[in-house]
Amino acid sequence: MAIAGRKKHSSKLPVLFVAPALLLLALFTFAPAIYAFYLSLMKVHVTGGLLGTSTAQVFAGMSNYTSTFKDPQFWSSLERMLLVAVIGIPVTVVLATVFALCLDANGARLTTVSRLALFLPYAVPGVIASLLWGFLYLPATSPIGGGVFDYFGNRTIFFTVANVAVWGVIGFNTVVLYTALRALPPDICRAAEVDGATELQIALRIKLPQIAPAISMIALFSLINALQLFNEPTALKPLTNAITSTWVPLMRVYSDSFVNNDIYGGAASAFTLLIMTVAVTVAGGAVATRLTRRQSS
Amino acid sequence: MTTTAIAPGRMTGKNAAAGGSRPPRRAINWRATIILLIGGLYCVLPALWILVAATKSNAQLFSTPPYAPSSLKSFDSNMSGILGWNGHIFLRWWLNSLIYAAGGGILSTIIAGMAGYALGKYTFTGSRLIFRIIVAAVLLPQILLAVPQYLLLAKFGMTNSYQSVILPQLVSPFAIYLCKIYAEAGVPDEIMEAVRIDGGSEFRIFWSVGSRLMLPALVTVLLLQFIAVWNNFLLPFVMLNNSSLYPLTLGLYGMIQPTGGQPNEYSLVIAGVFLAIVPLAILFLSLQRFWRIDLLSGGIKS
Amino acid sequence: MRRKLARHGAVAASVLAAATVALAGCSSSSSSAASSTSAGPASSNQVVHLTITDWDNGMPAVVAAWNKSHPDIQVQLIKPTGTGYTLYNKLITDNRAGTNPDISEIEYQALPEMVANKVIISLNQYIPSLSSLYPQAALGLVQFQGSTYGVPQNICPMVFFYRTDVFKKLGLSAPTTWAQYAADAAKIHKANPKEYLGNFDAADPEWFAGLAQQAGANWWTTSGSNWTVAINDAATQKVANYWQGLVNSGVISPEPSFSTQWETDMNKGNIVGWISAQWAPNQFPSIAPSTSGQWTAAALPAWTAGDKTVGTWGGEAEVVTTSSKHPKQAAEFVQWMNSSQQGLNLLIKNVEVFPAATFAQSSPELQTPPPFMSDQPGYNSLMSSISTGVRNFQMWGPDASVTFSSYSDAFASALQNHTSFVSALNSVQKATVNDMKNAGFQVTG
Repeated sequence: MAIAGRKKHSSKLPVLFVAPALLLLALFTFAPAIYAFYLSLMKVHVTGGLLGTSTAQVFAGMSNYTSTFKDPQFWSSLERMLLVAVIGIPVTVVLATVFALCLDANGARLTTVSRLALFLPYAVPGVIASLLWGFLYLPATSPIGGGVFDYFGNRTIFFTVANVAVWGVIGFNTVVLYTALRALPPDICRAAEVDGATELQIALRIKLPQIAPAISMIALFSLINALQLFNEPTALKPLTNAITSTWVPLMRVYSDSFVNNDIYGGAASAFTLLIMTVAVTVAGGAVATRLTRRQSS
Repeated sequence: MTTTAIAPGRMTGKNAAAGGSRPPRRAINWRATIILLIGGLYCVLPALWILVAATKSNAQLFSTPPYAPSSLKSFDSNMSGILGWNGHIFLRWWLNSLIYAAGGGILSTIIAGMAGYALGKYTFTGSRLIFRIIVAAVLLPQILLAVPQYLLLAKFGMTNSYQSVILPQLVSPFAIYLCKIYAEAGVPDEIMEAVRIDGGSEFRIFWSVGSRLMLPALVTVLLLQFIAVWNNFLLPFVMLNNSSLYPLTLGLYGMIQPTGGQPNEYSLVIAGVFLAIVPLAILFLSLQRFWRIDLLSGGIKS
Repeated sequence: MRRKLARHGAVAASVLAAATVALAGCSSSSSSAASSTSAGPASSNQVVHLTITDWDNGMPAVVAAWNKSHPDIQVQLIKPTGTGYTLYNKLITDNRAGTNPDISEIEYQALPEMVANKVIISLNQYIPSLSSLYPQAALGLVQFQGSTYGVPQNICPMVFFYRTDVFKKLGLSAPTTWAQYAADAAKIHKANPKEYLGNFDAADPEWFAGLAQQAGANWWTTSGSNWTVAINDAATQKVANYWQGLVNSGVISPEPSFSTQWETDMNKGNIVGWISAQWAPNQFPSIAPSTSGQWTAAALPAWTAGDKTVGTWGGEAEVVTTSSKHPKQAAEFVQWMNSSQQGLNLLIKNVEVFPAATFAQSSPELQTPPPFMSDQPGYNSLMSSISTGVRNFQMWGPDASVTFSSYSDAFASALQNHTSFVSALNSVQKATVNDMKNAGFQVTG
């Protein structure tokens, strides 16, 4: 950290290099976000006649936000999201770290095959996920005991959703950590080997601390992903009565914006969630930075 | 942080050719191999269902056990069924997916690589703020942005086109973040300084040193972005109205919507998904050799 | 025309600084598009290009036939990716951008919502009166306050399908009343605990609405500009309580129609009956192919023996959108497709519709049953006789989307948590009324 960029150059290169990203971000992320915020303060109002002689977008003040806040469904959707996160994030981070270290370990075999295998779920499109898990979980066809065990019970549903989520992202996170391991200079490990350290000791004492920033990065991004939980419960929804269209906050945003013709309420829910996410992420980021500092010092 | 520990490589060409950082031939590490095997099975078994299901007709899909393959004949008829469906439109969708994913993936990797390198290796006015702004963008879910993106693009008459699907996906905050931390850790200041002393321009430093040392990160980003765009559903769903512009996700999804009028083509869709995953596996396998950067970095350093 | 030019701009996007280039390139192309369309309709021999959103698989043949006989009005078919409210919501969103296709297929229950959102236009000035072609039940679905907003295509009365072999084995005949249906369900489940006579569908509100229509419910009524909402009225509560009884006693499956579990159960013979609608024979081949030849269609059980009243599940009209630059030609196509003998013959043959237009219900094309029902030659004449008893709500509400998603959530939760169906109905009622009030409609209820 200290060395990077210490020497200042008058070069325009860094600015030129960042410019495309910033420009595109402004056009395709921040401008739409500002527009979405504007929409969250509006609503459609119908006047005159049975079906409205005029239909206009009018200023709604904070009413979309207050109705989100007042809706008990919103709060229970937050609870459900957090429950899945509490189950899923630690499992994802630990498994990804273990798999990445194994892939990088000396003498590990089948690494190419297992790397592809681990990554495969990430390539399975959501279109098919619903069918796939239906056949695995539902009593009529389940090869994994769906006939005797209810995967869609009021409690088990959280583990079921978390499992689908972990399954989907484990390869992604493993690949990110594996990349971090591949970028490590070979000499440190070699030196330890010469000193007679075992493979496990090298993995835990040398490699693990070195990739700590990458681990905290995937933890942070897993947290953000968990707060944006959407794909997995959406894929499972057609299979069970246990998942409603507002099961997690983003599903509510989706049904408002894409099904119920209420982009305004959807945007308000999304920004409410966003504010909470920022708070959690800032807190999480602070903890991660502190941990990283402690480890690297 | 980690940069201080990095010393220029001292590998000989012979050592590198024999397999990178690893000393040649080693006893099998059973513990690691078994863990990988279990993890691999956990991930592959559910996905394997797609392969098995692709050998079934619609009737067999719901009547035979999920992991009992049916017949090559059904597999063939599913394949020809999906390829010939609705005037061979599947091939068009496949090609569209490739255009979106390759276009979006390559461009966004370049953009992320440049931005990550600049933010990781240089300090300039506002660089920390810029980095924070970029990372903050990850908090904005696509579900929130999709409709406003559509309405804004529509103002410029840009919806229902290839660029309407590619442009909004060109910047990935996660990719930039990844590139930044790899540039910080993986591109040593010493080497940059050495090129500088030799009279190399800043761009030359990036081109001949930075970009190559960042290769593992760039390969990872390309892979992740390619697949993210390939499997993206929401954005093309919002942007496109013309089925000849659809990517695979959108086209296949449309085939299994219960419509009350026509039967669902499950087995054809499964065959289609099977064909959609194959190029991703090929991409993955062909990119993986770039993770073994030792050869390249050894070459640069000597 | 506009569409084609906009796509032209795609070429510009291939460079890294694509954003700015594409923005510039496309704004110029859209302005040229505007000028060319304004010059367009003036000359009479210019070909008009129309687009239509329609999800039915057999549509290409219908459109091709039109294009062949109408060289001046060429129609391009778009198969949408979403159906139901996902599609209608997209039409509303795209309407804000003015990018909708000229024509769309819309289910009846969504028409008032499309009108309220100004997505579709009145066809009064473009088409002659439909009164002589359609029964009042069908016209009421597309005409509001003196304006016709769509041409009805088909009518989908609810129909009861049962497994002939299972009924025969147990000595049962098709139930004519709901009381008998309940008794049969119990008998079947007792004879084989794996078997169910049917399922309660919490996922598709139209299914439940159809049952409520039969029982005499009127979820929305209007007088002048006033709405009355009564989703939890006595008739609907009767239906809810009846099904709750069946579900609670475990003789009916709680799995929604078209779910993986349900399809497997249907195909394996665990579910031996289906409260469905006229279009079911099109679906059977993909749902339960291994039970082919075992199904018989019968009129829906009645609340009082002999009553022929029946609700509908499905059915759609074709509409012309506000975005259309050629509403006259679009209306001409819609009218041809849904209310001419030629158009309807094509629809019957390719899309297997049961036409809403009275004259077409006796078409020779309907003499043969759909392939899946080949053992029941009188299938279509049964449909004709059943459809005379069709009863709809006075009108569908202007926010039926909210009602529908609220139904799915409330009833799914009730099934999952074993809570009361009637309190689920109350929450649907509340959600609907709140949304209507919030949007500015005058509403009591």
